[in-house]
Amino acid sequence: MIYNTGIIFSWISFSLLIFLFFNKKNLYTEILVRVNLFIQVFLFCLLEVGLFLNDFSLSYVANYSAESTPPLYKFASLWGSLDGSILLWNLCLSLFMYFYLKLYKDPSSNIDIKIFTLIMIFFVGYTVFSSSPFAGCIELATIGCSASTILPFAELVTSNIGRGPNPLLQNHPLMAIHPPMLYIGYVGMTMPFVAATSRLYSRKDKSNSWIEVAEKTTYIPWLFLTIGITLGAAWSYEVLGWGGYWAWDPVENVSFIPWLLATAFLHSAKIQKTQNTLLNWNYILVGLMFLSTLFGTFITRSGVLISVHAFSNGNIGTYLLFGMLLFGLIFIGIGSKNIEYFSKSKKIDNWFGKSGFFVFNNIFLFSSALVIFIGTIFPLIYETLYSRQITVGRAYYDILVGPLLLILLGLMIFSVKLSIRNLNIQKWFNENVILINIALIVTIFTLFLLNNSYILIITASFSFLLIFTTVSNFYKSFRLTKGSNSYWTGQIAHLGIGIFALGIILNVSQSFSTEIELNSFQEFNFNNDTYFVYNTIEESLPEKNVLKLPISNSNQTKYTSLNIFKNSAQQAISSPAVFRSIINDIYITVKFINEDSYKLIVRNNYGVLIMWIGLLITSLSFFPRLRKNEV
Amino acid sequence: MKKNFIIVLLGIGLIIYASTIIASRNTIYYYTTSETENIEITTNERIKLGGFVVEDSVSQEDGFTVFTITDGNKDIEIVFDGFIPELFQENMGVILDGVLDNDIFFADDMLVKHDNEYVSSDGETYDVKSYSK
Repeated sequence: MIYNTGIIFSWISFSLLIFLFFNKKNLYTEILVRVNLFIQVFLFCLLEVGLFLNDFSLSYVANYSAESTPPLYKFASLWGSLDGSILLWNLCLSLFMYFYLKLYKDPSSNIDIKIFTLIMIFFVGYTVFSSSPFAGCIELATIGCSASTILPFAELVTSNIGRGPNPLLQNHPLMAIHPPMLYIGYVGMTMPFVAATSRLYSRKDKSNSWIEVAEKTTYIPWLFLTIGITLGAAWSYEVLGWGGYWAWDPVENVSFIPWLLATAFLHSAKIQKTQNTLLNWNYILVGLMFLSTLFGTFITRSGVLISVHAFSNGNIGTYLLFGMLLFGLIFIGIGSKNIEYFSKSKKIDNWFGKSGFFVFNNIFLFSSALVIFIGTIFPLIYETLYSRQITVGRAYYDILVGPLLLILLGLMIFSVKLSIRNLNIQKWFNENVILINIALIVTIFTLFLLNNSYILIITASFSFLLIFTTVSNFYKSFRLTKGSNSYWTGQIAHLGIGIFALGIILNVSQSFSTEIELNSFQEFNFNNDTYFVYNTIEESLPEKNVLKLPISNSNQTKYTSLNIFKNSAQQAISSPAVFRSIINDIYITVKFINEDSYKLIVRNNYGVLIMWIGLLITSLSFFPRLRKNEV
Repeated sequence: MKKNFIIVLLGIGLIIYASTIIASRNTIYYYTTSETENIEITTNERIKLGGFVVEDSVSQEDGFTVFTITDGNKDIEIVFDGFIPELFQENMGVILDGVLDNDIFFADDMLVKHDNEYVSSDGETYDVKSYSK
């Protein structure tokens, strides 16, 4: 029932989009976009119903959900694997299409909706022709389903029991929120692409209107990408028990590349709006932003690279490469039609004025993105040339990306008060002498308490100065409502990044760990506190067995737990016990359990909470944009 | 306009060149267990070794975790001293980081695949079950 309805409605959605694309008279555009949105919402709900009713005749439900799966994770199973996540992707895309139509549509032409439709045809086409989350099961595996059909009205077989979602995805609620945030970020990058290409294609208005729309529509996906990446890092830290949050893994990298490009664009778009310069560069950035999200999905889903995020899959890789080629060509075609317009781009006058600083910002952000891109695809190229599999070591990123981000941190300090004219460094020093001194004193004071390195000294002083200048600026000018809304958005984001940088440098330079062997009901000392280990407790829940080891210090008791999931892939996962404080976390994981003796890994992780607070502040940067008096 | 274009291209070229050089100095080779037979590795060269954990092979000896991994053709004994990721299980695909010495691999870092399917370089998917003995 769900199987037939799902497949038929996927087809209806596909035909409707084809009609919308070839619809010459542009009749009913709004109605069709609405109907399309309605169908996508319907399909989303339909699969959710399938998941909640345990309809194991659907191959997707049989393979990625189980009767015993708790409701939250049943709901999240929809995006737990490739086919379902494309459904969520389509839902986001149709939401954005509707949103775009309502708020940003070019009144003089329909081409923007057509480009949007083309992108949507591409993704809906995948669910119609290649693999659908509504595929019916025609052959059973021991658990779950081994063969399925995407044609309607086939004879289906139903298994009694589902395989359940990947255990990792049902260990922490963060995993239910993190992927949709990233999807919204990824899919949202379609909007600036559509804005730029369509408005330059129709060329009805030769103004800079495309940059305004592109800038506004970039901020939303940028925000969601920020949140998505943060949640992913937090999840990795909270669940995986390795004590880290970022590993320069290919899948992490490809979510960071669009973020860096979008950040660059949000800055350079400002310069184009006020000084009509960098026209061609901005167009290229918008294109790369969109293509980098397709590239990201390609790396994530094609399994061409060795990654912790090993989502093995079928033919989506080639399909996405084809998409990158197609949309890349459209992008280049429309760009080359506008060579004349781009050549009107004004030159940068003052390299140490506002525009110059924004260009530097773009150079370093773009370079970081390029370096990460090369690091990510390097193993692919190497394998093609020498037929040997390799990975690029962490040192690569430390050597190259670290300094670039440090320079960006330094540049942000000047962002508080930039004028069109060149910066007078003498004057700047005089104006900020108090803050500079305070920052230096705080840095020196901090260094007395910590292990030193010159990277720490530079980063800490930059961070402190950035935080102080930004905060004092807030104090002085925010009440006077000086500056535009987007200026304050930037200032809040910078403040967050400053705090984040402080957290990360503390974490990188100060953290340490040790291994401790002991038996039940024994205690150990670590970092001026005593920890007491009890005996393991076993708990049985419908979907899993949990083995908990309580550990307590003078204030509280925490558990490191080992979760063994029933009737699913034979994986066990455990969560660390984390004793949190603002400066450092004591992070305890079990290395192994032997009868009632344990080997524990105890880490002292500095700055983690400071990092999360910084990123939270950056995510709150949207508040000024809600103010009505747009300047 | 043209001058700027050339400067930008040169800049990008420089970054690509520098990145490639640094990346090639930081490569870590990745082998399957069978591949270790045909290669020459200098002692103490760090490599990555991938394979499936053989069932009933995991034990604890002197604080080390000892187990065997296989790619279906060749088994290699692993002596592991490091943090066992929470996903570590028999029959699972793992990638280990360490040094190979006389057919024993001393590893201190481990990466466990999220999925229970192993995709080889030729894109073929191996079911873990068919490899367990």
